[in-house]
Amino acid sequence: MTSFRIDGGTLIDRNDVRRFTFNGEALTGFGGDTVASGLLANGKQLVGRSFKYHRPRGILTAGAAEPNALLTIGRDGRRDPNTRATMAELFDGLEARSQNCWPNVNFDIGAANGLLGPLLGAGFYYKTFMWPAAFWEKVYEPLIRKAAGLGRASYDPDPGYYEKCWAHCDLLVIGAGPAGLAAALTAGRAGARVIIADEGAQLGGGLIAEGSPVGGKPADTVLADIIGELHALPNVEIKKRTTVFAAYDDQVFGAVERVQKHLPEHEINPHRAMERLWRIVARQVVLATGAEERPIVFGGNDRPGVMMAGAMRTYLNGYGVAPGKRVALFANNSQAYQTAMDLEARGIEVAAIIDPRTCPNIDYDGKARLIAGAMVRDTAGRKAIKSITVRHDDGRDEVIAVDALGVSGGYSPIVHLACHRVGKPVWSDAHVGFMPPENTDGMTPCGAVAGKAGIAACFADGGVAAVKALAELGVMGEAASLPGVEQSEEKVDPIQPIWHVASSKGKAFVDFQNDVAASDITLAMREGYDHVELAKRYTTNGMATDQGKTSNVNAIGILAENKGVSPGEIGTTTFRPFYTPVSFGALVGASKGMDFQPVRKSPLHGWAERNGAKFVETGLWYRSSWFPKDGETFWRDSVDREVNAVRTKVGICDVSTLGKIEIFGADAAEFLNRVYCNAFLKLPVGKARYGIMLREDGFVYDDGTTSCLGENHYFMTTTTALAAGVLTHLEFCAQVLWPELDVRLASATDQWAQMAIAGPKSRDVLSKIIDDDISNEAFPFLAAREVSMFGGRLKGRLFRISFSGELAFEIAVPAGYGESVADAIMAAGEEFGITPYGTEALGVMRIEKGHVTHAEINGTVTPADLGMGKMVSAKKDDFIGRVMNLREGLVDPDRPSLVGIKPKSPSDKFATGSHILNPGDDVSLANDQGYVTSMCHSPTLGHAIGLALVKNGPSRVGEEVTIWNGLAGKTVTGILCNPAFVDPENEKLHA
Amino acid sequence: MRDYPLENRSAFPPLVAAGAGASINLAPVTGGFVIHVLGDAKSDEAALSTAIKTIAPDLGTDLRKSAPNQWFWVGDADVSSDRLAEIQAGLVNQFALADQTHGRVRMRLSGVSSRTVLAKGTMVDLSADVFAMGQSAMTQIGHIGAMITRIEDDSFELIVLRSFAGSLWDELHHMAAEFR
Repeated sequence: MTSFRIDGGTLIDRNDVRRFTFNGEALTGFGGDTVASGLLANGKQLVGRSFKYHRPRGILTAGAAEPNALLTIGRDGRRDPNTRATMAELFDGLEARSQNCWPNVNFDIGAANGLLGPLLGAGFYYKTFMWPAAFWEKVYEPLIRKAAGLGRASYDPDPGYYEKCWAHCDLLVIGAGPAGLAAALTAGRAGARVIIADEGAQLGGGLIAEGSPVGGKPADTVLADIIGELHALPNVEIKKRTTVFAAYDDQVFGAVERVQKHLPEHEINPHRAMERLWRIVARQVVLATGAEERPIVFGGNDRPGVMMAGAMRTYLNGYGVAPGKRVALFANNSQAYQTAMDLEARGIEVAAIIDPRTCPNIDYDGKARLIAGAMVRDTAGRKAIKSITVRHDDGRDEVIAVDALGVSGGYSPIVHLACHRVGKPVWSDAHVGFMPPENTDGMTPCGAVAGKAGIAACFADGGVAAVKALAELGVMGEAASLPGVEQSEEKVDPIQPIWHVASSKGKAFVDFQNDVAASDITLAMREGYDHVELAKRYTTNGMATDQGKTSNVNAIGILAENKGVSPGEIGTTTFRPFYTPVSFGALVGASKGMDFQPVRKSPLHGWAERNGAKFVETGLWYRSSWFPKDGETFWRDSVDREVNAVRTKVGICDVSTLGKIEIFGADAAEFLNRVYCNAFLKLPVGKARYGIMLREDGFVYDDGTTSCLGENHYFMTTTTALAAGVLTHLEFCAQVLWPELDVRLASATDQWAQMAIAGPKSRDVLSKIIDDDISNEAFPFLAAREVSMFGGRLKGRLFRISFSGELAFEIAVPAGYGESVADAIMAAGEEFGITPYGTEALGVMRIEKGHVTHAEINGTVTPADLGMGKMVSAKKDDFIGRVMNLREGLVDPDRPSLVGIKPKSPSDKFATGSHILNPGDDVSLANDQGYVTSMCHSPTLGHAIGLALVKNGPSRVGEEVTIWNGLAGKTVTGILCNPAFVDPENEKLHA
Repeated sequence: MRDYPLENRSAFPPLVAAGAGASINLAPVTGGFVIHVLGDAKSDEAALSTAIKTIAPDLGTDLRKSAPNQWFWVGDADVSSDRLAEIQAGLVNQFALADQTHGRVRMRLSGVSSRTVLAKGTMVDLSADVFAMGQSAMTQIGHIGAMITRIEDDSFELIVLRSFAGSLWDELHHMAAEFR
């Protein structure tokens, strides 16, 4: 193995040797290396295989745009597929593998696809795999699925911690190349809060690769001085390894920071994030994202060893890595000549510089042979480049032996972030590229993204941009004077656009990652897909992980050339976040597993746990579902026991999760009267009333009780599910519909621990802890008031209401005392056989009593449908839903209405959701009579019971019907009955 | 049963002591009161402050704006329901009081890393020159609603609904772990 490591390299530390493996082969690199520089230093030009044709591919770039060198790095849960070798930092013990090849990158069976090239052109999948139809699912789809994609995600959970963060600043500088550094320094010196973010492990951008002095000083010294000053400024925050990937509205920018991705496993702090997703709120932004060097589309341009000319400089000057021993350059611009000079300065032979311009205006006095007016039309070499074929301007071909070819087709400003908020880039003939849109709204582009070339020009432009941005904030600033700025003049580099070398031999690739060749673009045009957006979809040019960073502009150029128009007329596809791939880990942050969403716990949660509750998630709440005792192995064993205990003795149930709203104000009664369909104006102090709220459309929204606790003070309860929804609804009514009413609303759900004490012995139990008289006379059904407890040591709110149908109370106490009070009630109830019961028993008992919940209040029912039509006030002037509730369709007597249902044979069971049919009728929508809304086994009655919404239900009590369960394919004969299976006369309630 | 021992239990899990040199400390606030004051449309904070200084001079005037015409009145004394009723009587109708002492619980984050930890949850800019001493903001920490108040240079008090307290506590522990 030949080493390509040479002297120099400003980014690497030769004392820090790092061992890593590539496809299992042990290699070494240095601290500061990327995986790409480490591989190149070890002579590894072939690193992967292409997507479609499995062609050998090498490292094309030295940065974020890399389309080829995508590797899988790490193992098990820490395995990251599709990692750009050019961005991944080399650490000791790193394991990297090539993708999309089998059995290995050197010998890949999939390369046979290359033979099928003529069949796999653009849109081949629209034209092939059409027949036989039976093959679609069994052959074609499995094959396509197997072939699709690049790296494979790990099935193991990632053990790393990820998080999200917010940051705020006056000025966000995106990109820490010369322009960005100058901007940050300018704003930092002016005292502004500055964040400067750069995707690289080191700040510097173009300065890193600069081999020549800047303003008479070595480039690395200039860079170190700037970074040193920025570090010393307390108002400047430097974010390295941080890619700003999106520009959102209101000056919010998304960024992802690779916090520990560059560390070996033993150095990872498990309490620190592996990656951190930033939302940065910036008052002003300086966009200094630079420009991407464009490849040239010529035959064999994808062969390993073909590399961007600028990337060669970075590897040479930054990492001390030679791209080859005998290098040629193919460039249409003068900046590439710097690469030739740097190569020669390091003793690397530059075999030729091929420049398509006939008279290039260059300042080059090196040894390389300059071939003007020529183009590279082909390359040769099996797994790495061995030679190039140059077509001279006289039509003559010449083969030149090389082991690396640097390419430069001009520069494409990295305008993505300037375009995420709808703006479209603008074509510039002068720059031969798409420039940022003119109105960038709080964002000032500068440096290479604004078309500037050269370190000094970018320094100058960055300072000016910062001064402009600061002025928008009312801050005076002075552009930082940096080396070379005084002498800086913008160099206008006449570039000759080359979108495609017409004389190319063999496949000339536009998009390396998707294997899109120039011939695919022209094929798409011939087939009518000549709009830039259509051409993208038809050919896949610009898709996948790199989103066409190196290919889009060339594809647009080819479209333009073939249509005979300017690239500006073709335009670009739409820029959308993300600029580069963002891991799901960063997007999810800490919200995974049990931390996926917050947990709400009742103040009685601990009490329920101590009593052995099984919990059920109800929205965010954890509610006690049932309380199994020893020997109970099936949930219904517990539930039946709990129901029987309540029906015969007494039970205690946590109802703290019900929504509770305190309502104050001189007009509170009038307000309630308008939001409920039944009367509330004259509810006396000390009384509770069941209320039904309608939506504007006349259907039932929610139900609950509201108690009058004082002249201008009411306490409303809502269902658990709609606690927030009802409060929002009430706030809307108070603030928007009736702002003239004096009404004020406060959520009190969390203030109170509330328990239902139900059963014939409930009064006996409560009398032991409540100081006040709670006899039926003193505290009748629907009484509600504050009571003294425990000898005056605690005040609670007592309500004589019942969901179970038993004699029952609900007692609310300040939440902190909830567990103590529940314990006290259990102790007080011991002699009466008190039993904790959960939501399952609660549900059984409410069905037995015929009480409705949101199983019945499902958005399609009116009060009349629920048998509560008489509650709808005919006297009130108005209330929400009054008019719409009178619509013809809503008063139709044939509407499905609430009725009880039970099996004809007590041993039969049926399911919720089953449909009701008349006996003997065929199953059809026309014959549908309604459906079962709730069903349970009634331990009180010893058989299944249910509630149903059935056409004209209440008048059909006693009718035999068919209960049809289409899912299970079962039918049961049922009988419609009174929905109040237990105590239909309400004697227990009033006991 | 009249003598049954009653305990006012904390909504927070047991405290985990920070390690030596920790730059962040989390602690629940025990005792005290949080009263939700709901003013009418014409009410203002100055009038409220004046009124409570007169009616309850011992309870302080730490008012944290929670919504238009609404405040959380916070203090470290214990306020009984009878006392609250007395104060309400003194305020007549302009301000209604809803006791939230048990429903909205308090905790404190302090230390030089407190802002960094909170920035993992809230989008509010808490930097010293933007978020003044005594300033409050209703916000979300992750997915949990909370009110943040700056109480010292690097110290913040959070008010959170009791049912979310355990979840927020755990979340803040995760967020602060790298500094503890």
